[in-house]
Amino acid sequence: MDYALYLGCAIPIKALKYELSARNIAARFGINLIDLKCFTCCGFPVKSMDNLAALYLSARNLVIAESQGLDIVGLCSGCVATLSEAIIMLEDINLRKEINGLLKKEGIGQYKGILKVRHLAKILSKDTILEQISNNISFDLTNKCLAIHYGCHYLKPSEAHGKLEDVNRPTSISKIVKAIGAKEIDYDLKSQCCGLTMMSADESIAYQLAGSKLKDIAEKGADALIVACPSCCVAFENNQKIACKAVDTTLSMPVLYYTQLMGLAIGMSDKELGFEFNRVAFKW
Amino acid sequence: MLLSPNDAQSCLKCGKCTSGCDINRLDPSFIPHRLIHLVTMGMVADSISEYSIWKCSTCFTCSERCPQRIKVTEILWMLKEKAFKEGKSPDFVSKQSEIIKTHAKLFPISDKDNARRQKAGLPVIEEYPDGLANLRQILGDK
Ligand code: SF4
Ligand code: SF4
Ligand code: SF4
Repeated sequence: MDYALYLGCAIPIKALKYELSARNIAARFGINLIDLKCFTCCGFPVKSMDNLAALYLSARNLVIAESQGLDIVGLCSGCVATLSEAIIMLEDINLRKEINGLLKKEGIGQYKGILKVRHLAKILSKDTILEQISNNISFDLTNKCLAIHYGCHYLKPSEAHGKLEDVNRPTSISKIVKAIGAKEIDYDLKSQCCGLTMMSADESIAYQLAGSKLKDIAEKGADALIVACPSCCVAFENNQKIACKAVDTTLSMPVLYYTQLMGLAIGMSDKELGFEFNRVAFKW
Repeated sequence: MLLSPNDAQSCLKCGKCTSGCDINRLDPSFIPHRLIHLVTMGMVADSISEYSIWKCSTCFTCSERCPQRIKVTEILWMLKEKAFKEGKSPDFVSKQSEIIKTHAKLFPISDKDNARRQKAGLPVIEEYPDGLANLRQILGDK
């Protein structure tokens, strides 16, 4: 299956381990991720400045993939939510006309509204792939207790994500954890936001959000936190020390992307999975 | 259509948006339903002067919970947009806007980043060459 790979701004710089493991695990399961030129920011940060400009940015990215006859696969939950929301907004005829006028000026073609945008985790958590994973386990993870942080934009707005899963009881990444043989732990603050998107406005709250979550999963006996979004990863991994300090604790909680976890279970190499970039070491 | 203050009109002031908000729990001075209420009263000017609008994490929990299906998160975005356009946004927003107007990305990629990528076996990412004119025009070339 061919998809246009939409990386967004953060992944190519801040999430090399995610990009590496995503590309390699996708290739393993016959998912062909194609790199296209000229993608820009998805529009998410621009919503605070000008909603039309934000929609224009989303639309031009959509058109770049659509004109190649490709659907988009995204790795960042924020990007996927923003591009998916744009698809819904562009169902409005007048708005679409206005945006297409801008796209014409740029000369990159017109938006038709025939493509789909999906998060890679939603594709990798399909039963056919998970069956193959379960049948090819070469690294035992059965004694591991894992906490999942789905992340807000991975699930919401539910309308943009096509209501594919229950916002309050998500299952896609849980199915991945089950397929690799590990145990998923439940915890009180599971739906709490990582806080990263409001970090610039109030650091102290942002750190408390990430820290309290880390503390909660540690108390419930988690061996690692599983994430699906580069911003979430920054909040819980890069900022772990200071986030823990904000809630008066010190922890050394490994943070892994679901792609790394899947690859690890089927025996892919550390290099293929980008483990050299994990900041909290773990010896499994 | 893009959102307008009218899209908040059906608010019941039930407070369900606020009671599910992680930010409100940690900072009781941030009260989403009060901001929505101000909008329904036509007091947008008052709401955009509140620094707290910038504390919203855009998690969409409130929009999912609202019994009237008001897009609370999006209304708050609309307030941020108005604040930005009236020069009332915090410094970090204008800084971000400058970066995006120059690179069409929030995190522009440097040669050093690309070298690191190549070393890891990842393809080089090219800077976006053109087409920024539209964006500058909409965002205002100040
Ligand atoms: S948890 Fe944070 S970074 Fe992740 S999707 Fe939600 S707001 Fe974005
Ligand atoms: S949940 Fe909806 S109806 Fe209730 S106060 Fe908030 S915006 Fe108004
Ligand atoms: S989107 Fe903003 S206001 Fe709504 S629940 Fe999340 S942080 Fe609170």
